[in-house]
Amino acid sequence: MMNQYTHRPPGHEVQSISGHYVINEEKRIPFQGREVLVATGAFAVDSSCCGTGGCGFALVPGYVVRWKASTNEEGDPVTEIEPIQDEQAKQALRTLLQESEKVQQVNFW
Amino acid sequence: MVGITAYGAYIPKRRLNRMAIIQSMGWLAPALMTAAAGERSMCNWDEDAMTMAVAAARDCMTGMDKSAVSAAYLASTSLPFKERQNCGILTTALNLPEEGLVTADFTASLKSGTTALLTGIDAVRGEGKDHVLVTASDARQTKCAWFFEMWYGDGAASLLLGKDNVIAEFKGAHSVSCDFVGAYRGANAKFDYGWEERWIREQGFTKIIPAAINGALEKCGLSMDDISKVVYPCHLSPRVHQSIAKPLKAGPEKIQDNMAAVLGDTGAAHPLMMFVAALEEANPGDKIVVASFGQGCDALVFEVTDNIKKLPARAGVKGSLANRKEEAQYSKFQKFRDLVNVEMGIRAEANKQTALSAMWRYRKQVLGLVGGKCTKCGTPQYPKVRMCVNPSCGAVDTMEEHAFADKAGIIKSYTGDMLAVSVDPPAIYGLIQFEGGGRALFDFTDCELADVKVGQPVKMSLRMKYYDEARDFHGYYWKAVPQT
Amino acid sequence: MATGIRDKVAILGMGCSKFGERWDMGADDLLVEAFQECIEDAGIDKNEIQAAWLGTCFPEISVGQSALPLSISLRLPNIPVTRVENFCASGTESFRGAVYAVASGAYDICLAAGVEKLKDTGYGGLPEFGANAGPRAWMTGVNMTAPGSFAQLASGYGAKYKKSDEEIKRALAHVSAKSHANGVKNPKAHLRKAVSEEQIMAAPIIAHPLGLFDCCGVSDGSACAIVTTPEIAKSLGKTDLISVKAIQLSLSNGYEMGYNEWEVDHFVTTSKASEKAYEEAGIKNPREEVSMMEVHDCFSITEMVTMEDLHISPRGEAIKDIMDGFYDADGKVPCQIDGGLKCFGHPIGASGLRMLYEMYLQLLGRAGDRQLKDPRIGLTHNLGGFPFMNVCSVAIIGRHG
Repeated sequence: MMNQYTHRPPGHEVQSISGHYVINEEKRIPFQGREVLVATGAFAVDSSCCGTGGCGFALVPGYVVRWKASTNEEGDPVTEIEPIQDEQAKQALRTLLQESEKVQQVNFW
Repeated sequence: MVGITAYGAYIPKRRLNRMAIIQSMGWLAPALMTAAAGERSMCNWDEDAMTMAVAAARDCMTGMDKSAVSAAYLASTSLPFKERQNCGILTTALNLPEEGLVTADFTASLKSGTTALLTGIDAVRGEGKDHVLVTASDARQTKCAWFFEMWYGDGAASLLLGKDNVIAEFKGAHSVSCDFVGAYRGANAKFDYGWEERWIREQGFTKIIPAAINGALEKCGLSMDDISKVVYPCHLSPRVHQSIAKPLKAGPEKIQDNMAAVLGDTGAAHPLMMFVAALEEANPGDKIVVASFGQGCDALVFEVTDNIKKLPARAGVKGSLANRKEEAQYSKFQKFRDLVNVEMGIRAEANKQTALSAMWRYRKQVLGLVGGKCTKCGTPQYPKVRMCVNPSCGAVDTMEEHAFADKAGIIKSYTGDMLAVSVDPPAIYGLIQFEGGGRALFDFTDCELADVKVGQPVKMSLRMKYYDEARDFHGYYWKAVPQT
Repeated sequence: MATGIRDKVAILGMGCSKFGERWDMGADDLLVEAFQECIEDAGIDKNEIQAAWLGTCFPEISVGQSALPLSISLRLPNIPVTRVENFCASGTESFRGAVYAVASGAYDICLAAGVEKLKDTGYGGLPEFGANAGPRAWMTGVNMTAPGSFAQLASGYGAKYKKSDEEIKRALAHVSAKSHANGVKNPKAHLRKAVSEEQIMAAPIIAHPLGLFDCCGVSDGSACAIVTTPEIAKSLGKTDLISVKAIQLSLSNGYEMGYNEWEVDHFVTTSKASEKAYEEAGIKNPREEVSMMEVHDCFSITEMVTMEDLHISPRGEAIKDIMDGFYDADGKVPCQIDGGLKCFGHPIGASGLRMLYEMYLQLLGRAGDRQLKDPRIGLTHNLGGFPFMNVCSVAIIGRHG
C-alpha cells in the first residue's frame, strides 16, 4: 500500500493530455483521534477525448504517520501516511470535507 | 358492488426543507417565513407529472392484472403535452393492451382528479368497463420566492376501479361546478396567477367544499356522525384547512391530514393522495368522504370493505413518504425546475429532434421497456429485434414480446461520469442484468455514487430522458434506481 | 483456401505529422505534412500511386464526406480514392484497403492515409454524436461518455478477478506513467511530460475510477503509408523490407450488450481479432514472439485488459505483468513505446497508421532515443466504440520473410 505523500509547492500544476490539476493547499485535520492529511485543489478537463469538465476536489492520502519525514530526489518533503481503509470513516470524511472545503469530489488513496 | 379495487401513490424522494427557500430568498421575501414550516416534495430533474403518474399507476397495479384494464384516465394541470394525449404515454408505459382501451386526460382544474374518479365510477357502473385506472399527478411550476413555491408539492396518486374484490365501495357523490377562480394559469403561461388568499378562503374553500360534502351525505342518507374521515385539500395554512370543516360539524379527529408539513399540496392529485393515505389507515366499515376544490367541488362517499386487508403490499403514500432524501440546496430546486438560466455549454446544443415515425415504431421498446423472448431458445433480450442474440441460436422472427419494466435487475457494472452533460453530475449509469435474462445499459437515478455497487438490486423507473427545447418535446425512457 | 496476407505486401514508405492542437492547420494541410515525409521515404513519384484510401472518423466537422479531400489535398492524378470510417479503427481500415488492393494484384502501389481535425468544434472533446447516431439515440441512448463506458470495465474486471479498486488504480497509474515516460522521448508527440505514479494517483476522477491521467485527449494529426509488393519494393532498391504479417478486424454483434454471459471484464472482439491475427502471421506464442506493441490506450483500463485479450498476459494477471514492468520500455514486450494515444495523441482517423508508423520506425532502427533493441515483430491494436459494442483491429508487421 502506498505510504508516501510528496509535498509540492502550492499551486504546482500537473498536466495531462486531457487537462490539468493543481493542489492549492495541504491541511492536517484532526479526525477520530488521529490526524488526516488532506490536499485540496481544482482540476479542469479541457481537452479529453470525450468532453469537458472539472471541479474542486480534496485528496485524502491517509492518516499522518510521520510528517515530512524525508525528502525526495528533488528536495520535496515526503510524509509517511497510512491510507484510510474503513468505508464508514471514508464516508464520514467525505461528508465533512464536501461541507468544509466546498469541494465536489473527495478521493482517497 | 362498484368501487376502489387498488390504490397506489408516488412522491419524489427529494424533499426541500422550506427553510432552504428562506435562507436563499428571505432577504427579498421575508413574509414567506409564515409558511416556512416543514418540507415539500420536489421532483428530481428527470421527473415531472408524467413520470410520477406512471410511478403511481405502477404502484397501484401491484399484483393486479394489467391486461384487464379497459379504460385509463389521467388528471393533472401540469402535463407535458397540449396536443398528444398524455394518458397515452401512461398506458404505453404500463404496456396496457391498445385494442379496446379508452383513454382520456382530465385537465385544467385542481378538481380534475375527483372528476376523473367520478367518470371512472360511471364507466364501471355502465356496461363493458370492468377495470378502470384513474391516476392524478401534478408538478406545478412556481415563481421563485412566492407562497405557491412554499405550499405546493409534487406527487401522484392512482386508483383502480372495478366490481370484484372492491376494497372501498362507492356509495354516492355530489358535485358543485362553478367558475370560482382562486388562481389560474393561462394557456401560454408557465406560472399560476392567484387572487387574495382571504377571499379564496372565505368565499371559496369554506363555502363550496361543505356544500358539496353535505350534498353527497344527503344523497347517501348519511350524516357526519356516520363518517370516519373527511378528505379535502386546502393549500393554505393548516389552521385554514381545519376551519373548512366547521360548517360540516366534523371534529378534528375526522379531518384527514393534508400533509402540508411533509409533502405540500400536490394539486389535482391531492384529494386522491389524501384519500390513499386515509385508506392506508382505514378499517372495514369506515365511511370516507373525498372532496376536491377547483371551479367547484366533487364529493364522493366510500365505505371500506374487508377486502382492504387482502390488498398486496405496495409503497402507497406511507412508503413513498418514508423513501426520503432531504434537499438542503434551494439552487438545486431552481435548476431542476429550470427556473435559473444556467450555461450548459456548446455540447448541450445538440439537435434533439424526435422522429415521430420512429417513436411510433419503437413505442413499446421506448415507453414500455418491452423487449423480446426467443420462442426457439427461450432467451429474453432487449431490444426486440428480428434475429436472436443467443450465439448458438440466431433464429429469425421467433421473438415474442417480453416486458422488462417490472423485472428485478442487478448492477453488472457502473460509473459516475464527470464529463457527461448532466443537470446533476456526476452522471451515473451502467449495465443492468434482469432476473431471468436480458440486459441493457441504463442511466441510474435517485442515487449517490458512493452508494452504488456491482451486484446491487435495481428497480426500473420511467423518467424524462431528454427535452427538445427547440420543439417543446419531452422524451421519456427508463432508468434504473439502485435499491439500498 | 484463403492464405491470408502474410508477407504479400511490403511497406514502401511512411509518414506522420506532428500530433497536437494544430490550430495553424486544417485537415488538408496535415495530410500534406504526413504525405511529404511518406513519399520521400518511399522514393517514388506521386504519379506512381495507383489507388488511395482515406480514413476519417468525424468528416462532418472537418473534411466532409467522400474521398475528395484526399484527392484534392494531395493533387492525386485522378486515381480511385475511397474514404473509409470504422470508429477508431478508421486508420487501420484505410491501411487494410490499400494492402488488400496490392495483394489482389489489381494495383502495384497504393496509398493509405488517415487524418482527423478535431479542434474546430468550439469545445473540448470529440463532437457530440447526437442525432447522427440514428433516431433512437436520444430516445434510449444512455447519457454516456467514452471514459464513463470504459470505466465500467474496472468494476466488471474487479468483480470477476477479485481485484480491489486500489490494486486496479495502482496498475492504471503504472500504465499511464510508463506511457508518459515514453512520450517524453518522442518529438512528434502531443504531450511530452513525465509524470510520477504518485502524481497520477493524486489526480481527480473523471469517471470513477478513471482519473485525469487515465484518459486520452483530442489531437489533430495525420499519418500515411505507401504499400507495394515485396518484389516491386526490392526492384526500387529497398533492402530491409518491412512486410505485413496480418490485418484482422472483429466487430461486436450485440452479444456483449444483449446476451447474458459477458461480464464487462474484457473485449470479446480483441480476443478474437488477435487470435486470427496470430494465426495469419504464423505466431504460436505471442508472449514470446511479439517484440513490441502499440495498443489503443484510449483509457488506461483499456490497455490493462487488452493485455489479456491480446493473449500476452494470462487472464486475471495483467495487473501482475504491468506491475512487474513487463510492458515498460525495458520490459519483455514494450508497449506504447511512442507514448501511445495518451501522449502521442489521438487524431482518430490517423491513429492506426500512427501506430504502424512507430512499429515501422522501430523495425528499421530509425526510432531515435526510444529505439528498442532488435525488434522483429510489431503489433498494433485499435478499439473503436465502447466495451459493450465495438470495432477492433489488430495488425502485425515485421521484417520480411
